[in-house]
Amino acid sequence: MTSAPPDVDAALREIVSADGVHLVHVWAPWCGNSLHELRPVWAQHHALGADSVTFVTVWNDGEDGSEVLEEHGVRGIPEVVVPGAKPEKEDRRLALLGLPMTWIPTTWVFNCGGLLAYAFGYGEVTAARLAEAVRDARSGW
Amino acid sequence: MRILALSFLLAASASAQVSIPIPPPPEPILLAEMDAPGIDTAVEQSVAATVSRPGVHVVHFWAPWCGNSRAEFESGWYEVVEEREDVSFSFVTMWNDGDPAADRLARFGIPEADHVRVYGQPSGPWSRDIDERRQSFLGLPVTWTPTTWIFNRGGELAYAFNFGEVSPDMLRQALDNAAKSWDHD
Repeated sequence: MTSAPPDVDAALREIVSADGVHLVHVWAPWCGNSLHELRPVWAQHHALGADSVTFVTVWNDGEDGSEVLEEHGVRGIPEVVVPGAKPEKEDRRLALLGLPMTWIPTTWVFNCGGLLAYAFGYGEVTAARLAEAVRDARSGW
Repeated sequence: MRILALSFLLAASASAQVSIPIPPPPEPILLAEMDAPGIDTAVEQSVAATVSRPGVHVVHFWAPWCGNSRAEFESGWYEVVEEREDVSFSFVTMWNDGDPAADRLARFGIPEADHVRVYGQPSGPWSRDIDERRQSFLGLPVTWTPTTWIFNRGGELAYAFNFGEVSPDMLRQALDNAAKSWDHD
């Protein structure tokens, strides 16, 4: 599995190791599943209750996805870009923060100074499920 | 430096879509400090073989002394295990001196069966220090008991619940989602 460039991992570590609950969402502007999630989940990202939301835009020829996000009503989410062209389907695998990303879109929830609390690494996630995960990640249990 | 970088990110996210400038590498976080990833024990080898088969597979880490583990089972996990004979369940007992504690699991209504396997990971005794109760399994971090992973596509991790407790309904939904085809492209 290909590892993300070290500077990408470093940028994400900086974000998720801060206090609080952090969402990292891996997506691609050319991915149908990613596009399906944008308006129902991410356009209202403040309602998810996380302390930060970061998009990792992958394999889009080094471009960010800001225009596509804008078209789908998603605003105010910073992007980290993983360079490269769209791979063949069987090659769409990437290690980010040492974690396997084998599906686009993938969403990770971090807490406790950078620990992975939840991973949604297949299909599509709903806003309700994600908000519940953020609440659970804050809970003292 | 960290404060400056975060301040910039907050300001940037409030205004428009931007690409994040890459900061210098910060101090590593725990994910990068886990034990070296790999398949180190016979238990991992057996579970790796199970999850690499076609279908949907649950790998659940628990400990008989853990209140969250017991509460999770008491919430009705046995019903899901009984319902889903099409799914394999690998229960891996952690921090219990390698004892799988299958008898304890059976008391929660989850006996060993064709689709249910119980393992004792050789991970030493319980420690009061939660930082000492962290390790990797199949190269993935285990930082909390109970932890539940769901695999599909011949051994790919589909979902990870690494914190708190998973209700029977959450488990059912995750299993249904893992079995679906989501291809749009």
